[in-house]
Amino acid sequence: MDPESAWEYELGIIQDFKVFTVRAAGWYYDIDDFINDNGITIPPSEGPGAGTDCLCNIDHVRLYGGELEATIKLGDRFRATASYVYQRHSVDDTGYEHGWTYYLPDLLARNKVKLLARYMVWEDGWFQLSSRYVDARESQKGEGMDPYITMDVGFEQKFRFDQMEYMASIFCNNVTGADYEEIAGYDMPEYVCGFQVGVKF
Amino acid sequence: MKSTGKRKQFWNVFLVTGLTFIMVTISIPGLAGEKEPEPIDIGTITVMAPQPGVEITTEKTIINVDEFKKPGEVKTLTDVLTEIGGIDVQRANPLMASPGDEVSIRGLNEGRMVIEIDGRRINQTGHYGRYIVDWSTLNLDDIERIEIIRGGHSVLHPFAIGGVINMITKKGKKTDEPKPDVSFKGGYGRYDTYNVSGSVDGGVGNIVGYHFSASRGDTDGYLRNDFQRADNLNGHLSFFLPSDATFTVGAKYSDVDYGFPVINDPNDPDPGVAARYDDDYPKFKKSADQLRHINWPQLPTTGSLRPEWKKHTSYLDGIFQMPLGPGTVKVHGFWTEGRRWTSSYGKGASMKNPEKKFTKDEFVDDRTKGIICEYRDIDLFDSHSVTAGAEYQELGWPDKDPIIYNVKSAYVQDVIHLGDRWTLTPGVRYYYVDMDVYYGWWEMGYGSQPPGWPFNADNAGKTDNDDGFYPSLKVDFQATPETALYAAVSRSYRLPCP
Repeated sequence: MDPESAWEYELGIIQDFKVFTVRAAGWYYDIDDFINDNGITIPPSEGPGAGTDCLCNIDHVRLYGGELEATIKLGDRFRATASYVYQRHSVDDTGYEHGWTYYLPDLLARNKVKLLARYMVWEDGWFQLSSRYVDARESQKGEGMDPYITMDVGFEQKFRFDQMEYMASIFCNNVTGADYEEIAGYDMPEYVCGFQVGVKF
Repeated sequence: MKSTGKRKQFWNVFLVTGLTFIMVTISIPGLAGEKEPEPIDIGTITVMAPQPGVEITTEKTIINVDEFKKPGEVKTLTDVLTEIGGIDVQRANPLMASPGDEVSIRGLNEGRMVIEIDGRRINQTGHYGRYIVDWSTLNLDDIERIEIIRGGHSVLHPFAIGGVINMITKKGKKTDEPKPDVSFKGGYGRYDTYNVSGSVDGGVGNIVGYHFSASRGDTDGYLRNDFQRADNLNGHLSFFLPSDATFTVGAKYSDVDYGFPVINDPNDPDPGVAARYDDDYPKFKKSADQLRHINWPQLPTTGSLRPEWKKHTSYLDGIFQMPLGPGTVKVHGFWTEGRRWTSSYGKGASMKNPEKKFTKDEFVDDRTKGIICEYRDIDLFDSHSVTAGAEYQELGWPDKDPIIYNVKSAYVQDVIHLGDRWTLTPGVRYYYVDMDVYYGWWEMGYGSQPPGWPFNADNAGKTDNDDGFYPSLKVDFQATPETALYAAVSRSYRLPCP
């Protein structure tokens, strides 16, 4: 097997519009002698989910895409970051392809959106929201996986007493009960609620 | 994956949009609040400050761990990375960072991008299960900030294709204030998930700084047998020496006991497996994607046949730094040691005779050690800042092949300021790699894999080497105080591991 190397190209900009700021970047990677880790699935004749340790070079794997990240601040109460990523790839034929061949970038979505926001409800009391959209992508065995959206929410309160700083927070992850998988076959839980407490002195 | 239904998707979109809209519309400027960073112009670099504890420049995203906030716990590196744009985190168990997690930047995972502690690479060789980075061991108890560099455009970080994630540790303070900063945290959540942690950070007489922390995380998991317990200990001592020199020693240790998800399927073709279906847990089929370190589906057995692994990981570092002439000298020695005991089923396991294909406590270890010598930030002619260094690394499997890869590399980078607006950053890194590689048994005329292959079989292996120069160039242009543009091109090299 030959060592792997890559030419990487990137262009980008950060533009500050005062109320909001934007970062945009485009990238193109051309990987020579890509060492393909196709070692997890093998032909169905060997049994479902069976594994082996096959690695091989692929002459060229090209990855390209763009990122857009925007932040907004409204007064002292609200801050949010939203990001969007688009990515694609292409793979040279090796002659070793089979119906069960897959490539690691196949398992990642072409389109992804993340949102992280905070809102100060009252002094030192912050409502937090995190949400992600992940587009359709493939599993190792080539089956399509549905897109999903998840949302986590939380509230954190800090307060000071007798020169000590206390923190208490509650959260609920996947608060909408989305039925989704990040890795094919691994169901994610719904309504994961909990709390955190802390003290500093 | 099963369809989640258009209605639920619509409901999710509606909720996200609605909540965000409400927060925006009721935001009133001018109310007093905690002081937060604003977008600022520092010289020629436009900085985005999207959230408390986060800064984004054209070069990197910097996260101050103590200030970073999200709904839920921020205990491990993947807890932060899930929120950062452009990073994919695919989790097998969202309740705790798991050895089965996959993290990618721009489509390339930890097999290509580089994970570092204090600027030194922690990626392992990937032998025995392509195990390169153990996310479950990367707790944030002693981490001050995280730097994320997208792309492999910095020659200061070896073997980076796709990006770099660098964790900078807390090393204690130079202070004569005897009272240290002390903190305790704890939390509890669904699926019997809890965590407790404590830390102390301070200094003595402006001579010694210290940071010590300890934590435990535990969960029953969501899937059947997907339990996990992680105990972590971290310690850092800094000695403040004459001539502004410092010597720091640091250790991170984690002890992880982690259960492999087992088949939980009433329709499994193995009647013994189907009969053990437990509807207290979600269905988990043997057709699920395989995690990097679990090649085969695991049977739902307990006791001495419980599929799991126990892993002890140590990250040890010693760093000496001293200003010297126009720059700073740095010598950094490092050592990473992982020891795991895996109990799991192999190919063809069946409930008719589960013991036959079960291996108990199979021991595998990995070790990476090395030294970096660097003369950095050498100010020359008022417009150049040069960094030059050399690195030596050994990566291997102490129990079988102690040095699989022997890496020698040297690098130089110059940050050139051309007036107030242009910055050029050329660099080059040279690698020389000696490596042990192995033939495939099928290449050597065997009909099946011989016992003991490749270590105890004739003509199984060979040595090889590779070398080359890998250049990079980045151009930054501050068009206006509000607009920063950049372009970069680089050639990156990957350690030829799985």
